[in-house]
Amino acid sequence: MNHTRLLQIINAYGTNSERWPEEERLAAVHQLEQDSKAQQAIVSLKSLDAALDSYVTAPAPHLRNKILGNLRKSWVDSCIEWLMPSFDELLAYFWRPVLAASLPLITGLLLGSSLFTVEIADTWEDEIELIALYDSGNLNE
Amino acid sequence: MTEAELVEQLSSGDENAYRILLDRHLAPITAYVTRMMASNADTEDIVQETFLRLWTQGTRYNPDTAKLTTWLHNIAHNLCIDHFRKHNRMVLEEAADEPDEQEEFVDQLMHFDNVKHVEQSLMQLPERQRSAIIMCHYQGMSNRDAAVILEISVEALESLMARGRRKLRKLLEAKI
Repeated sequence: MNHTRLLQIINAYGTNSERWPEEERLAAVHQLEQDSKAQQAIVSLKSLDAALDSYVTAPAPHLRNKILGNLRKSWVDSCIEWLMPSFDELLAYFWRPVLAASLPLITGLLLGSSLFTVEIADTWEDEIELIALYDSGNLNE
Repeated sequence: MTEAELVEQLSSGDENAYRILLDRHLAPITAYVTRMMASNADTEDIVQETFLRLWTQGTRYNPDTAKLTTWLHNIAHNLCIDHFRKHNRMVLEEAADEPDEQEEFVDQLMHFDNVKHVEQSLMQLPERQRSAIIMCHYQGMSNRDAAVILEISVEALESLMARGRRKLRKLLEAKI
């Protein structure tokens, strides 16, 4: 540590030694004790640090609840996030699009099975009715 | 429980872990953004976005490369810079700095208590100088961490801070 480096530290980090780089702090404080010019620099710059220290920001406690409220996502956001996972999730990155692409096929199968039902006579009354119709058809011949 | 463990729990959707991290980091990040933006109306949006990214992109945080506070400050810093660019705020060039002059700082400044003047003076600094001073003076960040966020060397950071403080001194002198 020398005079030049000490002045560099004071000009950059200010007059409070607690803000000086940790690895140089002890040596800088020791240098300051025997460096009258550096001590003068400290005196002349103290007012700037005092002015900076006077600038205190107000806390914003309401922000906490706002941020926590934002975590509850809409289902649209959840779907988009599910369909487009981050690149870090390599496995999900491959299988999710495949699963998403198969959604139309699944939807088609479900629609198809519900719209085109084949009526099969499966009660004994239906069976008798069918046999009766068959017999009358034969008589007409 | 360490922050790395909390972030790991966070990635599996643990809201309690998120609450603990939010309580630890909300005040310093709010203070940083407030000073960077000078209590701009968008300050809250930037703080909210920073913590939303912790929730959605927490898996990207690597505890081996940086402290969580550095990672969050980095996000907040980039959001502030993006905001300035979007709103066409003039980005002052480093070259526009006034020449180095060693002037005596008036004693009256010792009793200078007008916070608004300090805020306005900080806003007149180039963004990188302002950010460097806020991180090292107010946020208690180490020079290495601040240099990482600004993507510069420690020497360049010290130069930024020294120029910033010199300019601040002149601006504050002019206001009293």
